[in-house]
Amino acid sequence: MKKIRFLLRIAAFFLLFCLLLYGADRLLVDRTAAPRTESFYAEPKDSIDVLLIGSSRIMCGIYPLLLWEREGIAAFDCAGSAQVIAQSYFQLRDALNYQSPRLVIVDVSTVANGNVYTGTESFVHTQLDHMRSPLVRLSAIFTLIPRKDRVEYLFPIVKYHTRWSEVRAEDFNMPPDICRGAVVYTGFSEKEEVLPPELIPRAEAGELHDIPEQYLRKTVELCRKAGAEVLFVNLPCVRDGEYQRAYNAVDALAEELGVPYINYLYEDSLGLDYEKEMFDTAHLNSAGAEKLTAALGSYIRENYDIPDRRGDAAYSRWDADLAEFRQKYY
Amino acid sequence: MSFTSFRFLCFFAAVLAAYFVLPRRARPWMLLCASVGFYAAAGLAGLLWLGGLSLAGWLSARGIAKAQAEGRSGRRFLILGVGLHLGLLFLLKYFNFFAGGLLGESAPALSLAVPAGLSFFVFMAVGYLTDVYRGICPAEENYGRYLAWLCFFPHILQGPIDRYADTAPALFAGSVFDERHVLRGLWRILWGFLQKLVIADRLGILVSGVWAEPENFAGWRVAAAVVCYALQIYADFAGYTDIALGAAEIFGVRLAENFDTPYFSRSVPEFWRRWHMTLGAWFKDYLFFSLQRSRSFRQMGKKLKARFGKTAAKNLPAALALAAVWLFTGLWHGARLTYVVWGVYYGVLIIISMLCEPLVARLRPKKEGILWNAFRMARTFALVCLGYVLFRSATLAEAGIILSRIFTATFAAGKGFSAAGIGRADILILAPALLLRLAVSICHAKGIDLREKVMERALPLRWGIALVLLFAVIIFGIYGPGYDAASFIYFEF
Repeated sequence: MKKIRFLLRIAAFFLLFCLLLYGADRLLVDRTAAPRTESFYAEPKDSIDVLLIGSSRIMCGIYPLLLWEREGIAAFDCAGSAQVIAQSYFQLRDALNYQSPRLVIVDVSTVANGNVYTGTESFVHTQLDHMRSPLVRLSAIFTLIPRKDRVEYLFPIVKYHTRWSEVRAEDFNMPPDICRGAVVYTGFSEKEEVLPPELIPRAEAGELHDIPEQYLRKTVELCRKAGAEVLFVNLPCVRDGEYQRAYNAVDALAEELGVPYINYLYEDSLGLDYEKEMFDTAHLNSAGAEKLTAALGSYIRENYDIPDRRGDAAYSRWDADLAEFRQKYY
Repeated sequence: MSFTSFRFLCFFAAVLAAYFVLPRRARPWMLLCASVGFYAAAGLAGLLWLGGLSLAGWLSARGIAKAQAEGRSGRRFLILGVGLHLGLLFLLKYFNFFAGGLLGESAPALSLAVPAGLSFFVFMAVGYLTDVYRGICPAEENYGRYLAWLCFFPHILQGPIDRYADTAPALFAGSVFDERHVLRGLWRILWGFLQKLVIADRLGILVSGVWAEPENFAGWRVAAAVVCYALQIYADFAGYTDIALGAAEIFGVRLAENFDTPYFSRSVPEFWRRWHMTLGAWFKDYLFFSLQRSRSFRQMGKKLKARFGKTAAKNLPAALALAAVWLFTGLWHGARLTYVVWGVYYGVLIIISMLCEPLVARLRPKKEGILWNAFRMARTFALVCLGYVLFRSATLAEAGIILSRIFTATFAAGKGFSAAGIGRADILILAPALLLRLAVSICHAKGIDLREKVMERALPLRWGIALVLLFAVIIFGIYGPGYDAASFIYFEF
């Protein structure tokens, strides 16, 4: 009896410790990306019709508020910096716990990366530290992260505890992100000069790496289980032949899976001016994004049964956010 | 597997749970398996050395016991067992050092990895063999039990250097669950973590920064870095020892204490009775007394007495034995010239202290006041710090640079501590942590059992203190991959 009472006291102490640890963890975690990620969870449940998953190219290339403006489509960029296909798969699994999209647009631009996670550790933290579904988060950590590094993802405080002197009240009062996951870059990066890519013939395809292929298949399976249609996209960029062969390798997989695939590198109708409408060699600027968003919006409208939510009182905030977005960036 | 790693915490929790779930008879064997697993995590080659040496030690002890049962001394088995242990220690740890020193660059070099904790478990085994030979403890009949004691995971990597007679009986008894033991052990582990991660490793940033580029610092800052090293090494080693002793206490095993507020010592010999006590006691019992009692030393004493009188006969053999003890103490810490010189430094200090004792006794005030004792403590601490300059430096030249930066550079010269990687936030953590460390030392010196005092308090206060200490370790400890705000800034896709 004494032993049981002792064990119960230990269990109670451990529980209290875990609660405080969670609080300390949330207090100390880096919140640079918090407004963006939290804005997704702030959307009313099942209100998003189109989810876009992938890397920064999606965030910089497709603006959900412009899709809303032109087509009345309620979309969200559920993407992350340098996020590879395997990471995007877990991002989608998390997102599907909160939204029931009719269409999932999958960015395949990282298909040339054969790894399960991006080499930039802080970006993996940005994705996993803010993920809300505990089971998906655990599954992602145990699947994607090497054993030796897992502790800092399971307990982000292991990484962030040194931030104790940097935490400010403003970290928790940051203005909400209205862009629906998009990140707007105006102008041009000073680092790179952008010239149109020298395209190889589309039929020239390489071999797909096992991991991105496996996760693209899993993503399609997951979407179909959730009742969502899937569309693969590759956004405009300036990349060499090796990358282009990887993008072209998706053609065969898309055909096999019965998934449409738009490789915008070959979409002349887009009429993109690489010199003026790219921020750098990988990302569109606001002018390029407006052009691409318009083209994608038209494609979605023509090919999918996505409702036009404009005028719906439940979506009135989208109009207000669009006005603010226009004023801020255009 | 470092005691302060997440892996160890998981390992320890699993061992703890399994230990108290199993029947009492199985508990020592469970600890044997856990200890072997723990040691294997440091490398399988080391496990092979440990297995071989422990078997040799066990057989030698059995040989001594059998010989003594037959009326012989068993000395041959003692020499064989001790020779094997010390021979292997020499081969793996010191061969390259001595061969290089004697033959220069043409010396053959061994590229064998030194098993983790070799110096510690070799000394424990040699102590055991000597104790069996001297009849202090019986020879263990069961090899598994001997191995369970030798490789008991709390002490195998960094000590304390335990005596078989003191710890083995409790280890083999398989302790019953005792709430008090468990809680006292957990408190001690927590305190160990705080010392190691909050104090030692943070001080380590400053110390490493100054030692890496001593030319950047000067005057009092270098002296402060040396003092910080004294505090760092104490918090580090005492913290580790507290984790080891706390872990063992939970299993009902009381390992030997290693520290007794050493920086409150009033003389260098007293410091060495209070610092790394198990090593000092080992050298005293197994080297100093062995030499003093040896036939050659006794004959030397007789000759000296006949020729130079009683004082010389008493002091000279003792001084020679002390010289050997301190030379080996220096070497025990590692195959490096600075360790040897550091050992010689202490040997000289302690021999001078011994020889001057009658004179000092006459000069010493009859009533030892606070100021006199404070002066003696400060003087001892200064001498210890001087020794640390040698101990921390990789070469004598480096030690010379550190000393010269303290004594020859002007006060205004050199950079501030920020150049050593330490900032205001670190000082904000270190100041209260060091004050807490000092308060705990004062309580210890006054004989106050702080753990008992805390455990007598009401539950909310106990939990409050435990949580404050836990979160001090979690938030202010030095561990993990570190955080770089710039890498999170959203731009470099």
